[in-house]
Amino acid sequence: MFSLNKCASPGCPAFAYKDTGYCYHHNPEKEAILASLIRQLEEASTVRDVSIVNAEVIGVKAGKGGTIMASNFSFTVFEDCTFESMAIIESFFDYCIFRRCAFIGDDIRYSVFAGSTFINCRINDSTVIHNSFMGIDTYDSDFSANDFYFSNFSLAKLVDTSLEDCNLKRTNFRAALTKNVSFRYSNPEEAFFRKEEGYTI
Amino acid sequence: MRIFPHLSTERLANVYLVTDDDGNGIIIDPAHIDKEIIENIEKTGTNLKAVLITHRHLTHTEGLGTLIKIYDIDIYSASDEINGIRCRRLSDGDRLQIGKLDIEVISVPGHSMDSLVYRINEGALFTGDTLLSGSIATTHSHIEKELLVHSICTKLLSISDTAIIYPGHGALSKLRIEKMFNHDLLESADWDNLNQKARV
Repeated sequence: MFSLNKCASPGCPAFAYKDTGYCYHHNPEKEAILASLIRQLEEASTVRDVSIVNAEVIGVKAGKGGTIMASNFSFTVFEDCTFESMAIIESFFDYCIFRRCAFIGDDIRYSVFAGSTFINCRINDSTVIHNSFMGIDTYDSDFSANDFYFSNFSLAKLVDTSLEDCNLKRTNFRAALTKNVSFRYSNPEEAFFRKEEGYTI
Repeated sequence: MRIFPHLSTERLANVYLVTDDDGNGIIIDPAHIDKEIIENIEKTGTNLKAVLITHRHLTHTEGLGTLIKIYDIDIYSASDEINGIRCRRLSDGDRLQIGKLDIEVISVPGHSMDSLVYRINEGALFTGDTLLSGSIATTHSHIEKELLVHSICTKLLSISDTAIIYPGHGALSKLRIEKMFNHDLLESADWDNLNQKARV
């Protein structure tokens, strides 16, 4: 679990990075912390218990077999990143921006992507159970061939996005808006939609 | 502090193992104790000290009998007994110190009159059925729903936006996320009014 201690910088509500006392943003070792994260991701080692908020992670190809566990990356921008054959467990990616990112063959559980924006992204061939995608915006993205069992897309806005060949059992799309979204070969009848609303707008 | 969430497939409820840096541990809401949880306790070398119950519904307490057969533990809840097992009674504002885990007890009635939320080490909220990711608990009547919304707004929303929510069902969340996207709270008649008061 990442440190729940607050940053020592006056008025900063962010969590401190490990035991340094300061959040990533106010940390004098800011560049080294980000470089260490990127190195760990690329070397496919375990990223655990870190809180790096409001960072920019660009062009990282995470090594196969790596793990991100109990970490916090709220408000971070990810561009041109690939997360392949990874385990992402109990981690927070809320209010992030993902641009041209790919999650392929991952095991993503107990994680939170609420409030994030996915532009031209792919989540494919992954186990994505018990996660929060509440209030996400997706544009021109492909979320096909995944198991979204028990995940929550309520209040999401899905535009030009494919959810084909997905397991949607107990997936929650309450008050989600969809435009040009394909559920072909998936089972939306086993998902939760608000009855008075259709699948599409 | 480490928090290990476990989805009980029997009840589709979350069971949490919380440990401090010295290996002292607690279980929150033993919905159904299966082999995976026991293995997790043993593999991590956890010295299990206590069980905290958010409310007495069987969905969250069924595994209590199994746990007390294996471990010598204290059981805490808002009632004197759960499933015929004696508990140490907690009420609003009580504080517990278990190892390095500093636990604040917050009473949030509505779903049931004995509903408690546990705030551990300031930043982690174990909400049971009271506040879920994107929704709030079911209630028997509109009056109870209003009571629940009022309790959530006055007692939980004043906590820091970055507090992490570990609910009894469904995905994890944060208070900031619930303020923005919790459909039940947003739909509630006096949400704006109560949210404004909570901010003040």
